[in-house]
Amino acid sequence: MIDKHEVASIASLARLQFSDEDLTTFTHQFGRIVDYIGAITQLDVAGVEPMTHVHDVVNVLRDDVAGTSISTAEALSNAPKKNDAFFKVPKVLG
Amino acid sequence: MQTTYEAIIGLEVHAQLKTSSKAFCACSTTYGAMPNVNVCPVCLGHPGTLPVLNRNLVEWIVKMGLATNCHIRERSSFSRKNYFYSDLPKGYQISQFADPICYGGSVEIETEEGPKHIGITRIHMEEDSGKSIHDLDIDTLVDLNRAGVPLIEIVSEPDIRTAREAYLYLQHIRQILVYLDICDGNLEEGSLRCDANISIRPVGQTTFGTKTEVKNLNSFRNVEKAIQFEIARQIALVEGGAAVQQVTMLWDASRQETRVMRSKEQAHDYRYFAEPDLVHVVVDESWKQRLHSALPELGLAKRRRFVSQFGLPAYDAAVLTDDAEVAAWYEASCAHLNAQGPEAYKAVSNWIMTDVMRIMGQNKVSISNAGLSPEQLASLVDVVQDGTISSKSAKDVFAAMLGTTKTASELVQELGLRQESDEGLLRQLVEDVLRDNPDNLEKYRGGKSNLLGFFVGQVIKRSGGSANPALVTSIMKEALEQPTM
Repeated sequence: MIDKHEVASIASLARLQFSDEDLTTFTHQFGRIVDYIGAITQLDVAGVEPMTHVHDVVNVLRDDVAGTSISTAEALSNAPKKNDAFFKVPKVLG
Repeated sequence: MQTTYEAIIGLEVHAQLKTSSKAFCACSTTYGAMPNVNVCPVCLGHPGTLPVLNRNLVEWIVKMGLATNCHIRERSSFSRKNYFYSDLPKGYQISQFADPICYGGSVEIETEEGPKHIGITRIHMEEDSGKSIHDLDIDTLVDLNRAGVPLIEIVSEPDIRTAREAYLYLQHIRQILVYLDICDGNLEEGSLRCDANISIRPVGQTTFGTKTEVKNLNSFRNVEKAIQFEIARQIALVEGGAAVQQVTMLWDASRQETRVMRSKEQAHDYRYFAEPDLVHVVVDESWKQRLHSALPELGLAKRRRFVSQFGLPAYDAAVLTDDAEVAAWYEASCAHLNAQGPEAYKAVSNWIMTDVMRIMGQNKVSISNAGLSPEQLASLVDVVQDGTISSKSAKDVFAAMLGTTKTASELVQELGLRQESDEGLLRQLVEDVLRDNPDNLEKYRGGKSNLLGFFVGQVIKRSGGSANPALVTSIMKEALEQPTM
């Protein structure tokens, strides 16, 4: 079962803040989702390798050749805060 | 009785690979470019973009694994390491987690107490973050040129016991990376970074104490100092009846101390999960063999060969093989010698370790730009070995040689430095000197044997400085022993 404390810590990892009322709602909803997915745990998967891809393809590689990048102006065009060369973010300490 | 403690140290070394392009996109990795120039939608973390793995990242990490006696995992995968930081555009770092491509290796370091093996737990592939600049503006500025540059993380077993061993291990790892030509190995510029996990325990205890992690060890000196400081701090805590807390520390080089960066409660929860955008990497036997056969001779092997092949002292061999380019230059010089032999090999070593390295240090250049070629140095050693010039004149020839393509023989002619080694001519000069100094000859024969230097000096003076001093000395001795002249 998911408890309110877990939902609160997930929220904090995602840098989100909720009212106590919302947390209760989400805890209930999270619980229902986890229970639903939990049906899988009833399957016997002994000896089955975890599958992380549906494709069999491996080694998709590119040669180490530098290509063209985009311009600094383009790179910064979506930034909420910037100057001529840099993205700007609120002061963070090392 | 007083308790003796030992330290248990493991190092995590991040090496930035010197590929031309980034790990998962084709942006250039050029160091020192203008900010936010080497960026594209992939490394900026824009939605809908897909990473494609750089072949050299795979090949180079396998080489590093083979050079450190690791197993190479046939099939490995990537994971996402999730955390929020403004210089990590995607909100996660692509890394490897449960199945690193290299694991279970070891390297041998040469300590003052003899050789010692340090285990390598794992070496895995990952990408670098961007750079945050905190001191140029009220806001923090972010440059994403470095975001996505390939890194390999080399994790050692907790086999290191002293700050000195940690230093030697790091030197050794650096040397392998540089010999493989896959990393610049520059701690100050950040192409090599080192974190240390440190705990202490009373000697004899088999369980580990609580460890701390020390970050920001950005020079070889700092690695040794920070570890020493942290060991002493932990011992003082335990001796004072307190316990070591599991914390992450930062080494503050200006204050020469470690300080707490975050506690266990603030530790990150990275929520690793499989990276769905990258397929698995499979290194089969033939690919591995091909990479293995392309490995160069590494530093330690070369050092031992220099001792056995050239008869060099261990110290010389260590200095010469520290830099692969210097080692190759040394071998090229020796190959060009007319007179092969341990004496000449040692003479070449002496020239490189003193005069050539002094120039390299003064001008901050590599040996290929020091101003002379291996052939030229060999020609200089030859003319000293065969007695054409004195070792004193050799210094002048060396100085004259720099920046030219002239051989030592050519310069000896030009500068008129040829030593007079004609025995008949020297014998005549010896006789002249003895004839002209009957007083001193009498004193010498009366027991003042220190007058030998005076006689030799007179001969050299009369020759205009060109007489071969060793030959003059032997002829003079012979003449003085004769009862009558």
